[in-house]
Amino acid sequence: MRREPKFAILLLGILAIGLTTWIVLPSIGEQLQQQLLAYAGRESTYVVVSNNLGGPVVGLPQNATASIGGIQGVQAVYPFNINDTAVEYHNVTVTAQVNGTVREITFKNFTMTVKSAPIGLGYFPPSLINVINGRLPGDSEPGFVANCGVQNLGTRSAMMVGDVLEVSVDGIKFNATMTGRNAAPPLTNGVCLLWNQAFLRQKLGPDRFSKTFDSPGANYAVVKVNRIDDVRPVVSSINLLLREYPGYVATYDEALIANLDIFEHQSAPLYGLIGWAAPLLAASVTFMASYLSMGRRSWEPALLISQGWTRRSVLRFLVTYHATISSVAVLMAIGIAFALSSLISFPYDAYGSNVVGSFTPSITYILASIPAAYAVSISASLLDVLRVKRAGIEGALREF
Amino acid sequence: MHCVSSSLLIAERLYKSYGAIKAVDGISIRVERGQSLCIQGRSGCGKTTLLKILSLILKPDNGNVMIEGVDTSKSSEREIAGLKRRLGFSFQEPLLLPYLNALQNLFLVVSPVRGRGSKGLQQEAAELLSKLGLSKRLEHLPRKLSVGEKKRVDLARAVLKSPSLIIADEPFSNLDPDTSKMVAKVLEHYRESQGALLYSCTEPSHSRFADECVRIDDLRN
Repeated sequence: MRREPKFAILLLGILAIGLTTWIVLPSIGEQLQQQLLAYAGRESTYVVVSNNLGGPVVGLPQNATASIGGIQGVQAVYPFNINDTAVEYHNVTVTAQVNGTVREITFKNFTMTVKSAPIGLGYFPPSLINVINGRLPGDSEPGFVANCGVQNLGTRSAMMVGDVLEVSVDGIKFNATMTGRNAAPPLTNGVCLLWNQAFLRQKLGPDRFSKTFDSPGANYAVVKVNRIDDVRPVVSSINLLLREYPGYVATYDEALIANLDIFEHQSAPLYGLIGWAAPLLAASVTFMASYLSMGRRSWEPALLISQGWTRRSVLRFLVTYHATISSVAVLMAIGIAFALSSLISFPYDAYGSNVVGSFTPSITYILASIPAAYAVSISASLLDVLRVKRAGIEGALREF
Repeated sequence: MHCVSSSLLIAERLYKSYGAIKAVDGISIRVERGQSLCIQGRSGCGKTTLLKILSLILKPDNGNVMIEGVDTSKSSEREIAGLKRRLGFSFQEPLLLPYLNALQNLFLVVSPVRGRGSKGLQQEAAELLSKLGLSKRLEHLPRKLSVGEKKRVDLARAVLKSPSLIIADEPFSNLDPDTSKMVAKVLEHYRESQGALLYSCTEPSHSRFADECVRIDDLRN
């Protein structure tokens, strides 16, 4: 026997939405948590060694960087040389306060110094390259990837892909175009311009390139540590080791680590809460909606009972009916969940960076949704029959 | 089962109240096999309540109903369901599932009651509806049927069960004289071939379709 199509569609819709919520919400919660922890683990496990003295500095000897590599908790050390690169502007107008008066001053020639390095093994580690806007420059392309938020004084706005700068690397002047933006750990922002190694080697010539970037020792190092918990002890050990080398200091992103602590102790439990609260909420809402929508039709089981159907046969009929609806609803919910997973991505502001999260329907929640669907519909059917029993046949028939 | 009599239906000293209103007040009635009995009474005198008690839809506050010798007050739920299968009840307000057409309202509801061997039930249902002047209404949903047509579908459902006793609540109300005769013919045919008929009416003229007619007031002890 079949029931009203409109009613079936309504019930199907309620169940499908409830089950989709059952699958999607905890999947998002679980995976967002994993993604954020992975992001935090990836971004916060870096330590930078740099020299805070101005002017040309003596590089760290190889044994110093090797010693850093031997510290417990250090996964890898990337020592390399960075260069003070001049960026030249012409007819730059700046606003300045002179003797208490705000004035605009125009400089015919204005030079700004930023740090730069080529990308590659032995230079800025390729593992830290993640171009989020634009692309890497080609081998013969006079271009760079911006690794910092430096302003373009020529346009008086943030540096954009396509902006052209007049630069001077170790005295060699050329025009370079910004081809992309790198999303590296904020700690490495000190190295502002990243070059294609092949291009720069060609532009400077092998000797000058080698003198600038391959000179013995390194004036900069990125240290990757194993775990977030290792960051603070590793920094302490490195700073102890660096006492012999004037101006050198190891730094880490204290704000990031503090944020991570907050995340682990405050936000992460919330995602865990979503993991079990969302399915319960979905099941409750689905059950209530199913029960209420069926409750309006209590007279139907009562009519069948008045015609000689047993309560058991009515229950069997209702369960069969709802099991069929549930089966279709589960299939629909799985389809909707996968469709949503391909359509939805959610940006998340994590420690100053914009992390784009995504999710895949969790197999655990998909499998759990099947018995949940049947449990909800069987419970609702059972309660429907009990309601008729409690109201009596005549009482239930009065609802007609 | 508790067999105490060979009569089809025996009800003794039935009482049913709704608050202060005594709907059924000490009524006794007996229906024999093959009998056609009409209970006549004015509106609101308790005919519907009495028929619902006799068809086991409603429990009396007091009194006994025995069907085919079975004391229903001592019967289990399963036994009651079994007895209901042997009764056909037609409601005063026709009660049809709104999403099933006239034909489906008969055979889909009745087939689990008739059980196995109910092959050809759909054909039987169609023939029955045709005999009641509904041959062109078989596929119509209840909302497309008039009150009189719905009433006949409801009555046909009771007949299709092939029960020992049909209990019909005002089966001739809202029907014109010709249709009333058609309904009476179907009920008479059923009674001659299978069992007994008990129905209620308000109009005295509707009592002519029964062998015997009693006023509800005369049933009080």
